[in-house]
Amino acid sequence: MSIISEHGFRMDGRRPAQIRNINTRLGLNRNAEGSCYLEHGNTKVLCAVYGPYESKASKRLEDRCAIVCQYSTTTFSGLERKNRPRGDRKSTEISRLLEKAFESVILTESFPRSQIDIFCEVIQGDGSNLAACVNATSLALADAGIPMKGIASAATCGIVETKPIVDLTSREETDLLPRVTLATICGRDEVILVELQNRLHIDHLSVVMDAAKATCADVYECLAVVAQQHLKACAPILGN
Amino acid sequence: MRVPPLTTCEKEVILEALKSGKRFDFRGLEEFRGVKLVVGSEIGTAICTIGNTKVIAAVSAQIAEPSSMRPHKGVIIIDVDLSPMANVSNEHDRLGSKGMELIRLLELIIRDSRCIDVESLCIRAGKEIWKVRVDVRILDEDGSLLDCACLAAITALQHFKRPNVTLEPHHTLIYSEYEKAPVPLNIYHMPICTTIGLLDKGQMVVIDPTEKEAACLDGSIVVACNKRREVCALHQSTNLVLSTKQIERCVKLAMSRAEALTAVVSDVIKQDQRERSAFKRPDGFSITTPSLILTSGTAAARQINAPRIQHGREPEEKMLYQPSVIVNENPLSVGSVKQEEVDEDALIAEQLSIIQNSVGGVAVSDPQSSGVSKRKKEKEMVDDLLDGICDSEEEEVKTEILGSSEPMEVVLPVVEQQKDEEDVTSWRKKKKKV
Repeated sequence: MSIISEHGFRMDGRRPAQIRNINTRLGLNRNAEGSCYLEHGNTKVLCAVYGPYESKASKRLEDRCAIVCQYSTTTFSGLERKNRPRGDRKSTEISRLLEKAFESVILTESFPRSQIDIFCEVIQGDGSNLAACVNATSLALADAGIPMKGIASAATCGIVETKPIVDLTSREETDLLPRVTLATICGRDEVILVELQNRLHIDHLSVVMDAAKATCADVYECLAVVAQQHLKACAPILGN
Repeated sequence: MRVPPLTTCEKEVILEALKSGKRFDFRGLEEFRGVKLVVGSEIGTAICTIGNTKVIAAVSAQIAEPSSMRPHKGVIIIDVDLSPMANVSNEHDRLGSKGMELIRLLELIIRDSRCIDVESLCIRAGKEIWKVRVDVRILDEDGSLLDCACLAAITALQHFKRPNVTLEPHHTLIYSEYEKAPVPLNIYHMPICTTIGLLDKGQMVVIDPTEKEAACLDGSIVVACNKRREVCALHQSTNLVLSTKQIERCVKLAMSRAEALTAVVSDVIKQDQRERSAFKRPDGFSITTPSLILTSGTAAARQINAPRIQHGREPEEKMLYQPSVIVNENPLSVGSVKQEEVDEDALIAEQLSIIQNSVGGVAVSDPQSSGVSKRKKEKEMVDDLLDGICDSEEEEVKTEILGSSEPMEVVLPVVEQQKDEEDVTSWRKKKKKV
């Protein structure tokens, strides 16, 4: 089974450089400062942001705020049923990656001695989970009104016989396909997160990076529109 | 225990030096520290040292039941322990965020990059597989921890050999190394990891940062590559903002490093194999121990060190020119025996005759003596000695036969042999008496 058919289409009928539909809803959770529900095709993520609030003594940093992230997947999210939603190596790794990425996006110096909690829950996983989590988190942070350098957007990109394909589904991910997850700020050439899976030849690296960067810019367009619409909807409440 | 943070003035000094292209260990900005790689005398162990960072890795294998999802695949487990010995901030048996990052990246590099053929680790599908365990222990910590750990683990895996097995209808036979030669793992490629520090929003590259330098830097990026110019892992390990061009530049730097280090690893492994196939006892980790540790007084250390150096070379030469070996195995090579040795043998023969004469005298006087039991013992010892000497004499004579065939000496070995036999029989008789 080839990933790209002879007519140049992928398994779900997309072109190689086409992303899946993005659906979002902001401000679902009343208790959280900011929350977001985001769909990348069949990948569905729920994200909530709490804070900034005064942090525990153990996590307190004197010059900036601490960011604590928890990534979990529901037991029914993937093809096999999982025993536990979080705590395995892969989940902790993704949590840590999200923490690192958002430490460089959020203006942490403006909240010394405080903490921001980010909770990401993958309801349905259909590839590009990490990228979807980054996108959901940046919208949730925007909803919470936390100052950032810009809205971060992410995309996963793979390569099939020197041809890049973007926004991979889980059927495409299970293959031996080398793939890069890239996150940038505002779709510019400012990478905050890069993660490579499987082996990628050095000659293909620049091709994949360029494709991923272009996709990040596309995703950013979508996210920016969502954030602006949400802001307009909130404008009467804010008194403007 | 928390490590006190770097003082502001220290940080400033280091940063200023780095910005003018200087480093405290006299390296250039794009220069790596020296790598020392040693494989142990035990199979599947390796120590890697980069600067002051030191990591030991040990590989072991056991038979286990596979998971139902992957019934025909072996398992590779990576275990990392950051002991407080390396850094006071570490806690035994508890991985902090640093430890988690390290173990996850090692897994990514070694297991997820599929450098080891796990299918070949299957013994019986769904029943028995090899579970290979890589234990990584951090002995000392001074930056580039992941590079060092990765290199040690890869070397240990290359060095490791699992026991050979054969399948019988109802059971599996596992052979010890003396029965059947152990089997090395199938390793497709060697991922080599490189840490690259970044300064000035990624404008400046500081390669292989030490711990103090790493504390001053904006962040670092970790790249794992192999000889076939493939990138196996790419990881932005701290919060910094980079451009894709900078990332690609870092990958290129790591690639050249990977090529150099792959050669080092295969050299070390090949040398070890050569030594083992020549039945030479491998030095193992003893060479990593600096002589400083051996000393309590200075003189003692020299005494220990000096003969050691000689030991390394001499056995080989001895093996080469041992006359007994040459004569017995290949008579054609007799001509190559050194003249000195022939002379030496002649000397021994002369001495032998003297001893024999004197011993004969003793033997004659023996029954007259009163302390019989003591004499007997002595005689036994002497006879024993004679046996040994006669053997060598016989060989020596043989060389002479081949060198110059004189009729006189053809008789000699027969006589000697008779003597020898006589000696043996008499010795046996005496033994019976005792």
